[in-house]
Amino acid sequence: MGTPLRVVVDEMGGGFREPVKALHIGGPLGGLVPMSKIDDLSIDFESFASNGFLLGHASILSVPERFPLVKYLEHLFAFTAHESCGKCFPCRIGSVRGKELLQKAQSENYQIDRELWNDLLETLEKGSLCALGGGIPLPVKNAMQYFSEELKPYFSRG
Amino acid sequence: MAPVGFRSVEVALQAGGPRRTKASCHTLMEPGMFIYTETPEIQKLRKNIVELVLTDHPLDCLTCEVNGNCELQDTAARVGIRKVRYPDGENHLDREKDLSHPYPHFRPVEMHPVLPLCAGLR
Ligand code: SF4
Ligand code: SF4
Ligand code: FES
Repeated sequence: MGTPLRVVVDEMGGGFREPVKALHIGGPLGGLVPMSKIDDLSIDFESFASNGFLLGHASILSVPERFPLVKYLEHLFAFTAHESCGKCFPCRIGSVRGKELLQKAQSENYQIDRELWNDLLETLEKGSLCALGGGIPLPVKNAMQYFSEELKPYFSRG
Repeated sequence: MAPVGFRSVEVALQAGGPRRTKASCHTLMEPGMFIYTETPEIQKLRKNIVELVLTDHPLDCLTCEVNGNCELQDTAARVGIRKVRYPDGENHLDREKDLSHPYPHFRPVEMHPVLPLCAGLR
């Protein structure tokens, strides 16, 4: 604990084999850390929480530069839909609708309404009964914040 | 907690103190708890949850046999839903109505028979 993230990535992990744009740390419901934040973080709960991420179980998954982030978010919603136990509506239906919105925005001339998107994330976050539905908004919101340019074409307004 | 009659309430341990959103059916009442059932945040959350429920529902009240006598319809009206914003997606609208249980018999909204009263429906 307390080791700088940079040390874990470059020294212990031996760096990257190809250009990477983000690290998804702490499992599917952990935070999505852009490369620009790596030097701000060390492996402890406070460091991650105070930067708006989540250390969770501290697994590290690299998202390569060449991999579209919208596809990655679609995968996160598909994962949630697959794992959802179905007990509460926000997660059981919301995870499927989130996946569908992202698919539609990629395959058709369709942009996701930002207000609807934010409402969906808020509903998942506040209305879910457990950490699955309640947790998925975190990496999505990280992505919306740090990769707003890349994601812009898929969303209407702003 | 049953009299609250809605999914989702905000709970605070002291008046004006920090609140947390809770599902009313999953939260035991405790002494000293402050319960807010109609904050703007809660009203919005309820509305958004019911909207999600309606994405998997036929929504043709005019031709429905329980029109005018329907808790889902009443709830949607009460939380202020005018239209569903989500585009059409995967649904269960081809399912038969399940008459095997004593709960209200909505059109085939995809509901688990043991939890049909969730999401603010009662
Ligand atoms: S949030 Fe948890 S309780 Fe609700 S459906 Fe998802 S897995 Fe089940
Ligand atoms: S079950 Fe209720 S909400 Fe659904 S179509 Fe019939 S009247 Fe409308
Ligand atoms: S209010 Fe939550 S399941 Fe009924």
